Amino acid sequence: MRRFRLSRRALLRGSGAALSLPLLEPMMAAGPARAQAAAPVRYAALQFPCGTTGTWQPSGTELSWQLSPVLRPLEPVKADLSVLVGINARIDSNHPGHATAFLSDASIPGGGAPFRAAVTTDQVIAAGIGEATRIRNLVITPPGNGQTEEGQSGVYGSNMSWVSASTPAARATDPRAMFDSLFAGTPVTPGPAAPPATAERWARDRSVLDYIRWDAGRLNGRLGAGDKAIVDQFLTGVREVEKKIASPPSGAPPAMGPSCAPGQAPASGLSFVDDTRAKLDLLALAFQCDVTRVATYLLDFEYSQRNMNFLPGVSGVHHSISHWRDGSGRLGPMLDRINVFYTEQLAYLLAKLKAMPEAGATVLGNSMILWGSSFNDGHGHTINNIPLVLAGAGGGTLRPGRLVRPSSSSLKALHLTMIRKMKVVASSFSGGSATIENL
Amino acid sequence: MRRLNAVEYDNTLRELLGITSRPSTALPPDALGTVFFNDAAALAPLTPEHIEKLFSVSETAVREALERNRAGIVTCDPAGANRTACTREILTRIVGRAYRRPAEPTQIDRLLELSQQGADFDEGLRLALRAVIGSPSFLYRTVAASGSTESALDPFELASQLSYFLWSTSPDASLYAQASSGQLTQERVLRLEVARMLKDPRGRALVDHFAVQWLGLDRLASFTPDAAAFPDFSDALRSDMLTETDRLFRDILDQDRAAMTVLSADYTFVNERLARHYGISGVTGPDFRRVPLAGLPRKGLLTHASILATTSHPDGTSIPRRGTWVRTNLLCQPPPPPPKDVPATPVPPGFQGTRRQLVEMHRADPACAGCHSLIDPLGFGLENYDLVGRYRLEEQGAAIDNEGMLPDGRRFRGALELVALLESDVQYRRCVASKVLTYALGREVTDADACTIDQVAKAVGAGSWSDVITAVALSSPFRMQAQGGQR
Repeated sequence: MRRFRLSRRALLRGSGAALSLPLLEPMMAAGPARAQAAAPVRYAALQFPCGTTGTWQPSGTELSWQLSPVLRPLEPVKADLSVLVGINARIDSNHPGHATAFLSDASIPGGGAPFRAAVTTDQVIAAGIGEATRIRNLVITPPGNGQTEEGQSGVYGSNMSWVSASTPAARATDPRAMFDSLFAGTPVTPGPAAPPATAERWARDRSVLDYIRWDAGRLNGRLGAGDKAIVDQFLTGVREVEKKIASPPSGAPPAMGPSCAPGQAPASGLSFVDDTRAKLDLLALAFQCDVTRVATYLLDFEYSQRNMNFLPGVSGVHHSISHWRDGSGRLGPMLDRINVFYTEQLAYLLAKLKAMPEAGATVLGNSMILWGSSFNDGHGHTINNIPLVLAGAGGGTLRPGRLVRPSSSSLKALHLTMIRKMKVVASSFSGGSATIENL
Repeated sequence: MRRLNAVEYDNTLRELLGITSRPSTALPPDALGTVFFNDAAALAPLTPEHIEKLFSVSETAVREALERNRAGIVTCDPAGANRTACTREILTRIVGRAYRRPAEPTQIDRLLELSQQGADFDEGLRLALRAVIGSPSFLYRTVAASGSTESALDPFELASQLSYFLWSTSPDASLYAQASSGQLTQERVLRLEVARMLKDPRGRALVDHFAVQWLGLDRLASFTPDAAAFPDFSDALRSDMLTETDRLFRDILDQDRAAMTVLSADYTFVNERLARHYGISGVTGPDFRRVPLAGLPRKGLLTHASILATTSHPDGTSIPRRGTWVRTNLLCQPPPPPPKDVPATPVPPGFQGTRRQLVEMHRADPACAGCHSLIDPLGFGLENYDLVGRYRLEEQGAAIDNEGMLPDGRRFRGALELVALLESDVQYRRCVASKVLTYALGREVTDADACTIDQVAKAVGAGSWSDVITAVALSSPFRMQAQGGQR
């Protein structure tokens, strides 16, 4: 398996983080001093919308503690995770922006295009670990788009991963297409199948890209400043594609892990529950096969209008239920049940990763997985003490099994700490430089 | 500079290469604007992942084109020594259409050079075509920089502006010819082209994209009523609801009826299932047909089940949501945002009354009255239609009180009176005008567009659907380049 290394170039792309280049320990040649690097460390973040009833917090002390009712599905993997208590977000936004800002803790002013968001943690990490895997960053959401709220575009509610302040990351929304881009190398497209890759074909692909780049440069000479920025970003993307095809493949799929078996491709057009399950399976598989080391999954769009009546005892749409203090006493238990559903999704993923042995540990042991919502009480839109679970041992960088009151209460500090634990060097993130010392 | 959105990308490839698949299904989804898909997709920069997918999609698209539409593309004999000449001929024609302006000699030279890397004619042509449809000149609609002042679009830019507005695709041969001759910028020619294009089947893109997004009908896909509230719901019925609205818009477009017909049609389109749902007798079979609404409590769009269901909760109607829908989409007066900690519908334990009574209890709280007095009175008027759009006179055993009020204080009873008031309301006309203009320009309208909106609003009130479209197409925001070059 390839050792985990960074390129200077990859690091420089992480525009959300202030980077200090001379300190790049992982850029140095692989050596025996870092035994833990035998297996790669993975990062994932999962987010659910609309918050909780504010009763998610476990009780007890750091080492002797009990899961709350909404977190109870995590009981079988309790030793593999820590619950973080007392982290405060600083997000100022309507619902949609809360999806956008979970991984940057930025305020989202609203409006439509051009968008104003902030680079997210996963993008900083993905840029930092760069070309190690076939897919740099897997960004998963349900199919479709979230809804606009009060003039704040649904784009914000549909994207928890932002490449730049104005660019949401490309999303994987369909399990079948996701399977194909993860494991078949080329996406499924309608029409006749493409022929197998050969060295000549890769050379010709490069010539096609040469023309595309030339056309972009020609165009650039005739455009105003705003348009030039769009073409420049296009050129950056073309260079990335070029880099990927710079070395002709030997025939075998690149960088697959030793125990990887993709199996059957899932279907498209599944129910919400089945679609979620299929994507969690693929996320686990992508980690096991080392196809990617960074992933985000927005479990549902912020401002969710989904009818949650597939859950026992629940009727109505998620967002309406999340404003649960209606005096009837009916909605609180429904919101708790919805939260249990999202906890179950995390529990499923963790159990799956835990059952994947790897280098004397498990894939879960070599991962750090953040799960939560950027609201605490969904009714009052409170952002203090947001629900957060940090799972996995991070390849030995985390000490799971605890109820943690972090040494810094800032969400930004949590993100910067995770960036550093992923061995990406950053002196600050999203305007904050504090870190948490007791994860 | 605007990127082709997913629909435009597919349509343009179909127009250019004659393919029938939808390559965009393999691309990441487009970002969504505040109202219309076309504003946000256009402005969000492409990610490397998206570009990579575009690159791999181009291969299958070009392959399909040469298999399915060889005769339309290979218009010369490429045998032997004729290969280069034939490739040049094909590229000169296709590049102009792909880039929506005449090819420059250097472009053709570079592409020919590329095609010579192919082992044979076919492979060479495929390489060149991939380069064409992967390049920014294809993927973006560009407007040349013009310095700091506003300037008119050139004929080719105007042709693209028009064809993506009306057809969601690139100019066809006829429109392209009008651009080539330079005549398109003449008002007379522009009018004739608009009329021709609206008669073309591609003009239905306006229904598929403008109408559906304006009315928020894409939300209907996620609407499923609770079984306790309406047990007979099915995907088929949901689909029928959409078809009814779609058929009304198509009818108005195809027959070039008065633009106000959207609101005031005294007919609709139903099949047996939807007719039964509405309580209309004498309609059998799955096919939709036109039926008169005289004597029935229905008139125009506002009484379509599609709209009434989209604005309901799964367990019943939502008076505030319907009121907000009318204010936002028909009057362009969206209410202020609700406070963050407000419950959706406070239901006291053991409450047994109507939705209206419930909402009125909520409004008795002075903290809530401010906003709810703006939106609820419009929703009250639609309470005769339940969560799936069926007509009713009672709820929970109590008679429905359908008295409502417009934002300006005029009172009405029920949907038919509301429609009559909106028919004479200048704010409704200005709102429709601004929605069409927003869609046409792919950007939000501003105060600077007020005169244009007034012009188009006149056509909405007194003209046909094609008069409305023509007024937009002739307007200066549509024909001018915005300052700074970014559209």
